[in-house]
Amino acid sequence: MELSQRIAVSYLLFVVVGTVALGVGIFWSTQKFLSTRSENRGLAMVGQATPVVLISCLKHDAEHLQQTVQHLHAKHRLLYGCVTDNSGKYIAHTKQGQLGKRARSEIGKKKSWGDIQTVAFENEKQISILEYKAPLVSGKQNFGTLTMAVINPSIWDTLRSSQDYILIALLFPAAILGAGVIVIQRSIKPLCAIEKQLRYSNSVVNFDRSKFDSISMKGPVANGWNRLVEGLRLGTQSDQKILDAVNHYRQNQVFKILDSLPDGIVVTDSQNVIKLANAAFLNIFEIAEEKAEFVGKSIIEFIRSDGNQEDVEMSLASNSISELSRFSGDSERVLRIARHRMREQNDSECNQQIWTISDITQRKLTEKMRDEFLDSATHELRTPLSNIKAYAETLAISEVLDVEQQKEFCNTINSEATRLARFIDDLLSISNVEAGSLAISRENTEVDRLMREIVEKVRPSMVKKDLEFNIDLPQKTLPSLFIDKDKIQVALVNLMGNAAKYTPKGGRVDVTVKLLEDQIVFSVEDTGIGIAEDEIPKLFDKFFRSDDNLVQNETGTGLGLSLANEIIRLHGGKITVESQKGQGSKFTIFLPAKSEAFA
Amino acid sequence: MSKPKPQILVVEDNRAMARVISVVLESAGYRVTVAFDGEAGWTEATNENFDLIITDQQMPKLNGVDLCRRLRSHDQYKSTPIFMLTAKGLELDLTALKDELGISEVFGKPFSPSMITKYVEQCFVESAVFSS
Repeated sequence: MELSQRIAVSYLLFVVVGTVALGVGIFWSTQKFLSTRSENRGLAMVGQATPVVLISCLKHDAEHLQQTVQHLHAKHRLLYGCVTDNSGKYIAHTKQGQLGKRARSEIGKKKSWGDIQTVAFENEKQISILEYKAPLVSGKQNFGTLTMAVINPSIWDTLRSSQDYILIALLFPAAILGAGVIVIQRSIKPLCAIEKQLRYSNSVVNFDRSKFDSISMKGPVANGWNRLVEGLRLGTQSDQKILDAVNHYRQNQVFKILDSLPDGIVVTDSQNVIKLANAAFLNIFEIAEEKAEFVGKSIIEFIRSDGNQEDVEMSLASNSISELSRFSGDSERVLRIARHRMREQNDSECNQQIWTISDITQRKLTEKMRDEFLDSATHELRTPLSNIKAYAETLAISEVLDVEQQKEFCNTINSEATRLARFIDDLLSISNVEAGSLAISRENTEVDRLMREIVEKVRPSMVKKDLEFNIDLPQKTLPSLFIDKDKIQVALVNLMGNAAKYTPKGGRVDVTVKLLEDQIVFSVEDTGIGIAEDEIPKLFDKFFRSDDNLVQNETGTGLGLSLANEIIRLHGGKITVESQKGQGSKFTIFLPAKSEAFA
Repeated sequence: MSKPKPQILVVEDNRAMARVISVVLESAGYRVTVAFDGEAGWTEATNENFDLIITDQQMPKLNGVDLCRRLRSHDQYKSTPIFMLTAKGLELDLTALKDELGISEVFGKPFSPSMITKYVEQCFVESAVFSS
């Protein structure tokens, strides 16, 4: 039910019920009041009348009695008055023709007031009559009963008689009530309209606050509501604007982030059709951005490279991470392709996939080099070790060897142990270089002596390969250098050792030491196998070894040049390389000629 | 007439290792020839007739496995016993070596020369049994 109806009904109900209750109350008390009053009157009347009649009875005069009763009738305006004797016969009656007849006992409501009895009843004409009966007793003489009947005034009779007036009289309050309902309804009309909207908002599950409407009534309440609604609407609009702006910003941010990543990121549907791809992806697969030809195509098309189509499909179908080689131009790249399921916010199974494509060529290369290094290192460690063990064991079996042989064997064990130790030193140095903790401890070093020691160290390897070994030191005595003697020695020995290793039999190695302004320049030049132009930049990389067969045939760990380079760098110097493949190489070390400076 | 001592070819690029093996084998009564790389080993093998070949795996020019392949494709060495020395140890696919190339024994470095001698002797005993 609408509010206005409810209020109208409540109003009518309470007012009417209240009024009716009030009316009934008033009615009832009036009724009570009237009846009590009339009873009292009647009793008084009977009380007065009884002695008078008694006196008349004592006279034993029937006519006198009759007159007395008549007199009473007139005085008190009775309906009728009578006296009955003890046998119940009328001996006096104000109604004609009743004398001598038997008195009827009327049926009705009986009451006694002392010895006065009252009966209230209705006669044939439906008039309410109240009969008062008092015993006529004087001393021991009982003459009978005095009966006086009056019309019982009841409200009902009044009402009945004034029916028409009452109806007209009720019209006025009814009209007031009606007017009241209308006034109330009018004044609460805006509230009802508001209440309607509020109820509606309560009934709908996802109520949008901008759905509140303005109302068409006038007045302060209606105006106030309309203002409120307008405010809500504006609020919602500006909220929406803010939300849009935030979303826009986030999207832009997200795209910026995606395009800044080095890995390719692609979003596809369950059929691998591209929905979104970042800049890195376009780069990797050399797709021009303006063409935007990737949207709508399957990502598999791009991943495929000539010749491995089925492999790609199979690999991608069965694994969520695959590594594939891809040729672009004449360079081969290795790509790591991973597929992930896209997570939806409501945790439902989503069909979209996110692909990440990383270029792991460098990593693969590093791994390959590391594996090669490990191979080399293992070999370099096991070889002297095997020799030591074999020689020692053989030595122990004394029958096998003669004294000369025993000596020879012991020497071999010694030199193999030294070789092993040196290699382990190299390994440790390299690991220090790795950790950045290779330290140099400088001391004053005479270059001449240094060179002499170095030359003695490397001479055997030169001799073994029949190499022409030339040392060119300047005429002047070289200044002493403030350097880490051992480490510099390692670097120089390394360069010369390489020269010897990679120069075929009968070749030549030239070592030169020069003083150039404030630098000392050492150079080692050979007529060896040389270095390819594209390998020179990588020469000083850790573990780097040329793929060239001639190099691979020699044992080496790829650490020597890296170590030498680091040592020279720590001294503030540099190493340069000039080389021609097939003709030879020249390595030059430039060292600042410091002597106990900046100590 | 005493049988001629069996001739063994040792192909090993590490001079010291080659030396100790040949010393030990020679003192056990065998004739030993040494080659210092795969190619040289092949040359020697084709020049003479060897009853056993002991070869290292990692060598310049021609590695041990390739040398074996070559030997096996040669009539002369189709079924000659071959031992392999290797620093790779467990990394090599031993079953492939044994099945495919018929390499009788593989010794991982470091090894004991006397152990090799024992296997060599065993090898010749077996072949003697078969030949007689």
